[in-house]
Amino acid sequence: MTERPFSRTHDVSLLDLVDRLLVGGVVIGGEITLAVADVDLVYVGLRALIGSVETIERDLGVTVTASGPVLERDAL
Amino acid sequence: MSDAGRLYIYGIVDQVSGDLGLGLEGSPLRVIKAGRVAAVASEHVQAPESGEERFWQHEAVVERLLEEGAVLPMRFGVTVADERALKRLLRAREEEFVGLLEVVRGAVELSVRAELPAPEPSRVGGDDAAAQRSGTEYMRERGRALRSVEQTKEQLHEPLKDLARRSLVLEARTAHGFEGAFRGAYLVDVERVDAFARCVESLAEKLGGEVSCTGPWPPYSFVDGGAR
Amino acid sequence: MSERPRDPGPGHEKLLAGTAVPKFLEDELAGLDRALGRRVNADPEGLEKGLAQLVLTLVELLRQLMERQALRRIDGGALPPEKVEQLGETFMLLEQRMQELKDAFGLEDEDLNLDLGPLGRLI
Repeated sequence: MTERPFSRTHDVSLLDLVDRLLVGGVVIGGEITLAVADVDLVYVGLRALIGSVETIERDLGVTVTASGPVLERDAL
Repeated sequence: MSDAGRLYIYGIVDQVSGDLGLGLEGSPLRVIKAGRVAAVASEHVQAPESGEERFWQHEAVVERLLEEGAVLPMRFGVTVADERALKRLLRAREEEFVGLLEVVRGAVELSVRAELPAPEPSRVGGDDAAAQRSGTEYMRERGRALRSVEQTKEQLHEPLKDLARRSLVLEARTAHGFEGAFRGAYLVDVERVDAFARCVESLAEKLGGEVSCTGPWPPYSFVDGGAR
Repeated sequence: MSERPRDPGPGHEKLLAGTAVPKFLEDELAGLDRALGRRVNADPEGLEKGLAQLVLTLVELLRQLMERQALRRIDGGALPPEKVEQLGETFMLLEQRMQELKDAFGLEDEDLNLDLGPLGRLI
């Protein structure tokens, strides 16, 4: 059993905020500055780098619908 | 201006009235116009640091702008060298921004997260029956589970999509490796927010899932016009 | 009206429906806590476990991906029965191996969440 040494003080509002601020929004000038004070950049980077199965599927051009899978192009 | 530092951008608007007050680190907010749009920014010696408090402060500025009219929220951390650079960047995408402001005017973003019931995968090594499965049976089981979950997700998403101007189904994962996790973003007319929230609640009950809906947010997920 | 940006407040004021701290988001929220400056230590054991978590999460992700691809092929009728059987056995074995690895590192299913998904679209 893993330990959970950190108390959970945040709730879904902050989670939704962070997801929006770090992934959504307009980007101009191509430069994002995340001056790290309190944010673990590994965390941010990981979230950025690692998608879910759905993301990868979309990038491979495959989709799943309830009526059946649709292969848009050859995958794997 | 040359050694003044960085301009930190909060959002793009087409109408601003009055004194906007202060932004991050107490730096005054200013409006920089370019053509038919304008950016709201504050000046800093160095780019402001990230962190929970700063995130909420950025959000507070954007929400203030949302009260005034349509706003395209910036991602956290967008800085430009100076006003001249900013104006150039705004003009380069002026048409796009004007169009996006129309898309989002009068609407807010709502977030929906849910865990929907999915058939429990029987674990290998769990019970004898599971261990006896053939490979074919396993694949059939997995296929059934996958389709079942996709169906439930659609039952949650479709009615919400109907209440929204635009919608996005985003990725989500649960800890258990099955695809019961759902996450969606919805651009909803301000007047429909209550109806939307009630719909989320009733759907969750009907589908037997757990849900969390937050908002109203400025339209972060609907403004990058194809870059996502 | 020169006022400071208002304080965030309790945060759950953004909640419109459902629960503010639902069970299914426990791991995401724990990850958020860790990320937002609540790192108390940088203990070596924690780092090692973190690395194991990362590796196993990636393996788990790939496993799911391959499984879905295989299911698609099966649904499409593109595979002979022997192949389906072989695939199924492989995936069952893979699942078993994953479990062994998790046990070896003392990780539960929940530990493999690692806050994936929601920000994945930067790929």
